[in-house]
Amino acid sequence: MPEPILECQGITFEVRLPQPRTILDQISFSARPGEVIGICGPNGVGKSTFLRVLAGLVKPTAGEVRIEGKSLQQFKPRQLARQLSFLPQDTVVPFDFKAKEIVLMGRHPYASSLAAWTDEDLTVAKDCMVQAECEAEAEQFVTTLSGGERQRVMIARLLAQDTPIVLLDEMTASQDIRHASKLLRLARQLADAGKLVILVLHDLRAAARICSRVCLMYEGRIVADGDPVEVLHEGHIAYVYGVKARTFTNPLGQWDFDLDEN
Amino acid sequence: MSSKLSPRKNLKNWKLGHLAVAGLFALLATTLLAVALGTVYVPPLTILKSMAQALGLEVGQPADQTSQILIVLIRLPRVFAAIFAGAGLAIAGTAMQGLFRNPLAEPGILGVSAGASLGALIAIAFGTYSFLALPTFAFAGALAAVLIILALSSFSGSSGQTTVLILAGMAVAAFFSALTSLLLVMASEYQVSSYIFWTLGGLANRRWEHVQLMAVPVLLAGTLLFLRGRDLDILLLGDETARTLGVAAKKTRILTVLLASLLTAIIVSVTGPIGFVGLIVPHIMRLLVGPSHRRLLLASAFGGAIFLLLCDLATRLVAMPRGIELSVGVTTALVGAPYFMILLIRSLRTHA
Repeated sequence: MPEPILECQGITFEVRLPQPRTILDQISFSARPGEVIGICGPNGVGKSTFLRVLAGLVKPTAGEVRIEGKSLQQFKPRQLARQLSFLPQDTVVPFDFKAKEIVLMGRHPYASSLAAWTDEDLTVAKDCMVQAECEAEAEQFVTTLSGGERQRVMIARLLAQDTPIVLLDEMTASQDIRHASKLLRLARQLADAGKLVILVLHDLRAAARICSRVCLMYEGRIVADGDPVEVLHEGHIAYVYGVKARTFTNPLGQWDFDLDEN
Repeated sequence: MSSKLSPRKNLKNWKLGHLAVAGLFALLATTLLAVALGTVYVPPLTILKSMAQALGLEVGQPADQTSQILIVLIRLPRVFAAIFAGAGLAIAGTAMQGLFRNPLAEPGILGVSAGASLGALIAIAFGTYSFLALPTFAFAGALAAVLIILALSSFSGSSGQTTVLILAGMAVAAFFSALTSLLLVMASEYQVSSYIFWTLGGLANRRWEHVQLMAVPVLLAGTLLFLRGRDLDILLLGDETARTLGVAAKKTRILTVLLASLLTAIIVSVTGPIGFVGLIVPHIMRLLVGPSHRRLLLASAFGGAIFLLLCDLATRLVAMPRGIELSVGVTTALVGAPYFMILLIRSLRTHA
């Protein structure tokens, strides 16, 4: 097993306003290259905040995040951008940039800030657009794309950044079923190529199928962490989501569940 | 998309260097035109000669002294004042629009103009008439507005900062305007009319000293923003994405606000508030060359300079037979607004 690439200990995040509240409560976590980790749980339990702490976007009240043993604080912005990439839930661009120009921005951590994009940058950007299935939109203005198309352009931008750690917040929320399944497989392929992929996911079936590991969050803590099928058992779902679920293996041999609506 | 144009005609496909060369030539041509025309026509050759002569170069037949004085001491300083004021306002407008993610932002958005106006009125009220007094006081007023706003926004986190900046700008502008009104009530009739004259904004009687005041800040701020061009582009993806792409978001934001406000403050203090240049030139250029900041800053600098130069020329020519001067701010709005509307309609049509 490879050494952990991303670790954190005792991560606590508290806000004072509007009223004092603990968003993240003493989270410890470590992840290795090649893993696909799904962070699941109900709304408002701190999943997105946790992902932002891992990305270095939110400074925790206590505890620290380390990449290969080195604290995030010690990285220069560009250095960190070569280690870790992040996809927010939605990105709105106010001006008429072409989709391919947005994807090229993913090359920023490697580019000289004055020179034009190199041939390598252009090739990488093109490949990434093919992988994220948005090459047809390359010459279009990102302002004219639909939400799902725009998100695929942003995923291509993230792929162009080519980092060993990939953090995705609700990557598939705005995708149709074909693109959602394609993008989830893409996440799997990234991990197979040796990257660490962490995604915040609401789709438990997708989590069970593509993740090598699921962290179930509740009230600012990780309450279960491990093999997806073991983590997503009926007792945990009842405790965390407050619903009665019946889990089973569907005819295709995949993990599945039904909700008892009564 | 404006794809009906052939690739070469579409400025969006031009390389940065080509845009710069084209801009430089257009600016030179406009400059010659602006110096040549006026109450007395001066042929372009004479202009080039006397410019060379002023720079200490040997020319065959020296220009006669009258046209030498007219060109070097009267027309050229005014023309260069227009070039730097136009370029500076357009650069500041480009930066502000990018920063606020809003094509309606303009350089005065942070209360800079209100601060400058108060400063100018104080200078007038104190009866200081040396040529540097008014710009100095106006600049101090503008600087006060910017500092108050930056201090206010430093209380907020990075998330809500743009909104805080806009709201703080409105509050400061309102407060400074109120102080200005208060002073105006107490001022003499003569002081009121000189103040009103200043607020109309103009380039008449501007000397080389005025040009010097603007040239260095415009070139410096323009260069610094240009160097940050790609960072400014990436900031448009939102602070979070920008930060994970290695852009120091907060630092870039503060630097940009500071540069754009100071630039505006300096120009407004020399020329009085000239509206519309900082708002529409960047917008027009974005439609022509695309939104990428390096291209846009370059195109806006040239576009702003040429636009203000032409507006000032028109102002002079219209005023010529009557012997009175219109204010260039009036012309910028009269010419700019209709053109802006045409472009807006065209861009809406191609987007639909």
